[in-house]
Amino acid sequence: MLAIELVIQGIVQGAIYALIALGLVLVYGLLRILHVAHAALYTLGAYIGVIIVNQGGHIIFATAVAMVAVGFVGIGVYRFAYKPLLDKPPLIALIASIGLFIAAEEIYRIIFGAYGMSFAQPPLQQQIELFKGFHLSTARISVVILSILFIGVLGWLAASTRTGIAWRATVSDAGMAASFGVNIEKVRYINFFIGSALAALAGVMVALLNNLVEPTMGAVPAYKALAIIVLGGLGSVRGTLVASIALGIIESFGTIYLGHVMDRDAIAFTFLIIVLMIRPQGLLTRR
Amino acid sequence: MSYEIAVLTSMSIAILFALSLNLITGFCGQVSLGHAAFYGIGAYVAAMLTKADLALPIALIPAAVMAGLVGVLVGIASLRVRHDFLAITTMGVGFLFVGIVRKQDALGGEIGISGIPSVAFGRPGLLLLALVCMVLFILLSIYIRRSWLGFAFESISDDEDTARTFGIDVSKFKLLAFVVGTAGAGIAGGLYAHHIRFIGPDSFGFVESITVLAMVIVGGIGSIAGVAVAAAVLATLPLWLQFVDDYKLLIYGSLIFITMRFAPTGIAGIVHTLWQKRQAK
Amino acid sequence: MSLLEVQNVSIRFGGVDAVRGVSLAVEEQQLLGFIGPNGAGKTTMMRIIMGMVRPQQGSVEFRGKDITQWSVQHRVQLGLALAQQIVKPLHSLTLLDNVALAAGARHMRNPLQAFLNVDRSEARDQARNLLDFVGIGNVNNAFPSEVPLGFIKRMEVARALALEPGLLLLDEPLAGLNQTEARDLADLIASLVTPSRSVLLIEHNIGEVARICSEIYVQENGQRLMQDKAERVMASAALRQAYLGEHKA
Repeated sequence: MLAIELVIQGIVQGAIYALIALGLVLVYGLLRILHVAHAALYTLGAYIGVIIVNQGGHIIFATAVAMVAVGFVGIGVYRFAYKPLLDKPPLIALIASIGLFIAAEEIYRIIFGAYGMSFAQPPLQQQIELFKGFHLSTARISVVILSILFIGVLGWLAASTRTGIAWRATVSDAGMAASFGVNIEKVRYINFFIGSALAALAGVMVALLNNLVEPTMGAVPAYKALAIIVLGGLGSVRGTLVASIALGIIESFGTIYLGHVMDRDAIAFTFLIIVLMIRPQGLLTRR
Repeated sequence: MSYEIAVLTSMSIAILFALSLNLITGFCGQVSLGHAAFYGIGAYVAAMLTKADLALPIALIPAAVMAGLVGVLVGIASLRVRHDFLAITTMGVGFLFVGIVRKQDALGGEIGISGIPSVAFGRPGLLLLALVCMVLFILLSIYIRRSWLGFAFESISDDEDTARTFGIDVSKFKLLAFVVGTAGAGIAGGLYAHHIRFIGPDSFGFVESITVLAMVIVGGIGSIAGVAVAAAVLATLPLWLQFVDDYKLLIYGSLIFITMRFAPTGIAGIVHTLWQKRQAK
Repeated sequence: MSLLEVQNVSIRFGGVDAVRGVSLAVEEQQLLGFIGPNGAGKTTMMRIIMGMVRPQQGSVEFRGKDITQWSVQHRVQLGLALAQQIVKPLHSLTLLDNVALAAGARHMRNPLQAFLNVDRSEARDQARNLLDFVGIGNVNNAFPSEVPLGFIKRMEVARALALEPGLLLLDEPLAGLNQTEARDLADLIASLVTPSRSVLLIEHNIGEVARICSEIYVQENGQRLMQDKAERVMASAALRQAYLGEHKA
């Protein structure tokens, strides 16, 4: 019984990781940049969601606004921060991104206060009995359903629409795609918009689960999402999804069985280091 | 007077810590986003030993050895993974260190270690010790830069595959950079523990790793003088200005971002460019 | 016994045979030309000889030692050196220091030795002479990004010579150069062979190879076609077939 509960908790956590990591892997695939500041957009999404709901907005409306607004902020980050660094070594962009992220956390602290924010009346908290004796909140179920929905729709878009095909062509060979008339710049904008919107969605979902939004809430997901896309083989969307769920489940078991030796983050990174030492190219990708 | 001594001690420790990372990242080109872990190892080892009545100058030796040994392990990891993968692996090592220390009762768990004894001759004695360590490490850095070891590091940092075609055994050189750099961080950590006299897991987290990386980058990756100046300034700025202390992370974050965005070669690069312009006139 | 003996090597990349059962020998004091159409597996052979890839079958012997499993750096230490088709200068160093680094390679056999050696003047002098020898002594202090491709190719030849190799591998050194530049560099290559140094010249420019090499090895489609005196290779029908086959058919 405990095992099933842990697996389900792991899947919920993994779904959130997947939403965050998907944006990161999209950026990495296109620009070869480890976009740490992505997690700042996740936090921003959470704040926007909570503020709108507390002003009387419906949770669905609040989520939609957060996703669109953060999507545009994501485009701004690309334009202002990364575009000028594209011809520099990738490390430069990574470190710039970390700087941006740290500064953003402080800005949230200054604007929204250090002690965080909660929903006045948290939505989606009713418990549903999945099977005998096992309850799950609507919020948790929504997280899993929304993740599957958005990731599925994205996968379908990438496989069967013109923009999706242009996007995949750009990821595999930007120069070639450009010579076939793909507007690379437009693809990058769409990429940042979608990735950032997904991060905002994850932010609102986590706000619902924890009923708390803090300036530093992005810190741990930021670094864990990096671990996840590295585990997934850097650039592989499928690998990223598998790694997200795997990490979610390993963490939920690890905190029970290894909790007295190391904390949750250390468990995640132990897993990362072990996998990289055995398979330096990531979980699924072949050399 | 005691205030000035404290400021100078912080400065010396920061310079030592930053130069130890500069050896790995600047000289040998291996990124580390978890350097604070080695600072932490040194701090914990030295603190435990002086609490058991060992003199600090002696306790610094096992502190350096322990940090260096763990450094070898990370160095071995650097042979398996490169670039972005290495950056994330070293970041993982940083989180691993904090996550494990947090759960060890013997190391004080979340609360950490307090009541770390003072050094012989008190504050001035500690300053003297820190200055000696710092100067020795600066001299070591300058010497390495001039030696064939520095030349080999430069070639590995530039392109390790090409370095191999010169018959350079890249693995051994990388390991050496990690050992010396992490041992240096261990000494800096030991000094830090006796300067602050209280340490906990959060003193050695990701923010500390980024802070020291910021010193190396703002100073100019690889430049000994640039990194030393940046370390001195960034370490003491919060002490001078209360305002800066409140917004410390905002300023660090912005400095890192602005340096990367507009002057990726750092202070050393800016000075170099200005100098060349003057020469040209 | 030959200086270099490659015996029956094969390598597959992702299900495709890049090289199949190839044997090749280079003698002491020889300039051997190595030609073949695009896709013949010339660069793969060079990478096998250098140790950048390991063959799945066959062996590589150099100076009587079986080096099939050796790492790149150990092969270099034994006397192999390489100037690659795609130039790989160290961008942060001047041309002089690029060569000096190679000239002082013996100081860097292990980290301790490298740590104890400080004097760079001897290696720099040697590098200066080598750069003069390859004809670019006038741009010693330029960085690779500041000079044209032809200069970097010459610098790479100097850099390989600085390692004092018994066998120098040159992978398409003439590619990307104009006719005069190619001719000058080919003349220089011809002068590199000494009693203690052989050269294996992998090249696309058959005209220059025929002009300077007395013996030529031909590879086609990952397989050995022939190895013989230059004039006989050039006159053979098989060579025409290999290069012009698609037109005939």
